[in-house]
Amino acid sequence: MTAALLSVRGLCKSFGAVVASEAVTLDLTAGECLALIGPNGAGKSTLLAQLAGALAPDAGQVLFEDRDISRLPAHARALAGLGRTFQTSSIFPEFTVLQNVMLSVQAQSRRSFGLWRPAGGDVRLTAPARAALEAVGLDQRAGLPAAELAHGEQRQLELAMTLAAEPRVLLLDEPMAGMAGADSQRMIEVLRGLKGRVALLLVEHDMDAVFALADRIAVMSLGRVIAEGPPAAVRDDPAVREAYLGESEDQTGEGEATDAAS
Amino acid sequence: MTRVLLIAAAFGLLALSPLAAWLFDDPFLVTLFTRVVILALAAVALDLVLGYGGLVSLGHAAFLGIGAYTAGILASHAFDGSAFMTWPFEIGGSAQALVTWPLAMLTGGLLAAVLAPICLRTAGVHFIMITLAFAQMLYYFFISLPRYGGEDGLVLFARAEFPGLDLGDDVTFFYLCLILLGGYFLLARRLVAARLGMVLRGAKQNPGRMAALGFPLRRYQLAVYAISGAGTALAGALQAELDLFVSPTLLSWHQSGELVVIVLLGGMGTLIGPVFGAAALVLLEEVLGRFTEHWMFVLGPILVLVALFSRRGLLGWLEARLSR
Repeated sequence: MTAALLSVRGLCKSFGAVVASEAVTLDLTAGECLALIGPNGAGKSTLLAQLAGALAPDAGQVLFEDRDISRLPAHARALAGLGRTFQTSSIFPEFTVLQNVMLSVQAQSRRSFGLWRPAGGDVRLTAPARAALEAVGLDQRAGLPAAELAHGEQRQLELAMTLAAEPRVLLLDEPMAGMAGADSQRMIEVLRGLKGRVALLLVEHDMDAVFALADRIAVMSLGRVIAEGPPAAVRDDPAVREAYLGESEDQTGEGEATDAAS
Repeated sequence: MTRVLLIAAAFGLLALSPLAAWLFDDPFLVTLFTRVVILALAAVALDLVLGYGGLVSLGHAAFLGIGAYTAGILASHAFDGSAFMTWPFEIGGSAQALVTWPLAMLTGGLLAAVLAPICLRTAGVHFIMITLAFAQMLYYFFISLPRYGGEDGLVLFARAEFPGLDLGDDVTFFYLCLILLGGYFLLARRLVAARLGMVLRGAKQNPGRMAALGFPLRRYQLAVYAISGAGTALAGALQAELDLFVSPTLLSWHQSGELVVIVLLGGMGTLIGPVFGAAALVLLEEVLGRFTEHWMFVLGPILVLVALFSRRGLLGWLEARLSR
């Protein structure tokens, strides 16, 4: 097995009496897609938030390329190559679609003290931004204010912003949420195209997407990883069937707070 | 396009305004329009952080005041030939505008850069409160300095000297102020479209996303806050020259509130809006003030109407009418 690109070691986080992460240990190797599934409230989004640096863990470590990044703030992790999409579309509604992505390119360039030259005419920003829009199929919408995009398109824009940063690890928080059939099929295709180049940690409820993309699946329940392995093995794991897969959809969310910090 | 037209109209009208003084044979009008220009400069500077950065600073009077006191204190030392400080090295006063005004901007910018790291730890209502608190601290600091007039303020004996110009001439002083407003306006307009401006506007819309993209937001907000503080301090220095008097009321929270009102009235997040806002407020005060000393009684409802019917203040209303 190759060395892990992103390595989570014994991560713990609780909110009062609610344990959101209990000694979570996971490895993500370069280029693979690890799907993280589990009922609502299992602690998936909280885990992603801790990996991205939006939430501080109570204990444990996050290693990125063998470097401990547990204490790095969110922006430093993003610059190091850890990209993130949000559960609910997180975009800049007043900017155009292109400007949204340009901002991501600008962040990676680490040159943001420009006072005089208009950012809009800077090909060092526009060219990579247009390429990222093309990759997700939004290039026709580049000039539109982002607020006017349909829901599915906003998710595509989110992904374009994250891709423009050329991350090596991508944390995806329910990229298919609220998407209609054709849109989610397109999203699956885009993500499939990334596999091999970018390591994906995919939190997703859409099982078709999970089984279409995942090389490995980790199952979380009540803050713990209860199973981990190839899709076929996880599908047949009795503990998983009980906690999640075997139950009907409407029972999966019972008795838990919604995922914190999304 | 309409926006560019309105910018040209605003600066054109201001440039022609001394004609009104000549037509009505009322030299006081020049002073009045100089006040408009100076307040506009402070309001444009405030609009950078308020309109584009979404940072509601209710303490911008601090920068106005520090600028006025910087220019005023240096001028008073120059007048009586005393030193501002003697240890560790001697610093005397100065009556040179090219010394005192840049120094006013520098102190304003530095003050903003010192306060910003503390203020920017907060957001929303807390940001409003903390900026207000710092401005009040500065207000009480200056009224407790008897050397510089304390509560009575500091009287100046002449305007600063400027190479080749006689600033004692009101019209000359007016045009110099207008040029400075134009220069700062141009800088601000370039800034909001440049990379720094994109970060500022992005942080207003979605700070969490900005952090996830990799922006260390505070350092950029601090930079803009300092640029805003410097511009406001320059306005303070000019106000001191205009009045030949540094009043501690420049530091009062009323003054901070007035600047916010000008930005909202004119249209925040537009830069040119605050210029219209400053003109509207000063002229309303002047015209209504002739009929009643309770002119605020009329201004209040006008503000309510603008707030209710135009999201971008006077400028939004003007643009809507022009583009029809």
